[in-house]
Amino acid sequence: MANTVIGSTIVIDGEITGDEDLVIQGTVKGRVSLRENILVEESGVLEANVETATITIHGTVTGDVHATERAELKSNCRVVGDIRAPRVLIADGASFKGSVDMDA
Amino acid sequence: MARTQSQVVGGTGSTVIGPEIRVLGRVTGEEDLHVQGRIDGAIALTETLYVAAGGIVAAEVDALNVVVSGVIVGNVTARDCVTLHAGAKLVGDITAPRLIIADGAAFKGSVHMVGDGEEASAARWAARARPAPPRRVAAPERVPVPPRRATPAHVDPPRSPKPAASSPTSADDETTIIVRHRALADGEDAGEDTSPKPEAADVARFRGVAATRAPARGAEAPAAAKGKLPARARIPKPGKRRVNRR
Repeated sequence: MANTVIGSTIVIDGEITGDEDLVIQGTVKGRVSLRENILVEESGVLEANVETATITIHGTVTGDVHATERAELKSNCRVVGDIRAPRVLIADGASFKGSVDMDA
Repeated sequence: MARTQSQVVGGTGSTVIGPEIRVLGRVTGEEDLHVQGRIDGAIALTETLYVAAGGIVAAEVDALNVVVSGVIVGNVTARDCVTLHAGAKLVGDITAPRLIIADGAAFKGSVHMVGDGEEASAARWAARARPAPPRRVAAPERVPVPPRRATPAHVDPPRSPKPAASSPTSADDETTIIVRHRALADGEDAGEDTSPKPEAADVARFRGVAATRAPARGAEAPAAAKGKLPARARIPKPGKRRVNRR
């Protein structure tokens, strides 16, 4: 379903905006602002502030996450930053440092 | 999960920027990049950039190959080949050893085709970037080249009334050579007294009128009285061409 894939050797330094799903296997630094789903794979590194509908993290995210629907942190992920989402799932094994705000 | 999806889409795990995605910034990578959306900024790849029919790239592109079916605005540098398919639009310069432009493509810009690959292009860019050695700029500063020393009458020390004149005949690595007339006493400066003299000499040369020498003579007399310098000897006779190196 994800039409946009950022491969594992790609480094994007800047801003990503869009209206579709995004799969990150590489590195993104900057800002990500989507209206759909973001999937950060295990090799993905996201050093950005994220605004999206849902986000599923298997990799590394450094930055604030603002999800309007759901935020999922799977096992073996590393998240440093604040999460604002109405629904938050943190799986066993996830590493997380930051605050959670579910009133967004 | 998504990994299989990416393989379905890209086939080789390449990167796809979907039609609704806009990237603003620098994109670097070591794999193929398919752009169906929009990228603004700069792209540096070691593999191939594909711009699909709806893709817009407003960036400087540096890749191995560039295959365009959409729009690129910006200079494109490819190490192998640039291909413009029908319907492609490219505004910018192309630097690549090989270029294919299909019928129906629109292109505006210049083309540099490098025959030998990277080294030739690197040499070419280096040659363009580096300006020609400023010979003529330095020449007036540098005092006469050695052959001129053989004719002391043509010595033109006043052209370099630099502080370096305090050290006569100082030949540094910067080649600021000051040749002093033998009539000059050692340590004497070829200073301000002589500066008007060349101008008078110039006038004399141009007009060839003896009357113009009068002021020079007049100016010379007090100088001679000072015993500073027989500047007359330095002034070239009319008709004798003196190259004004100022």
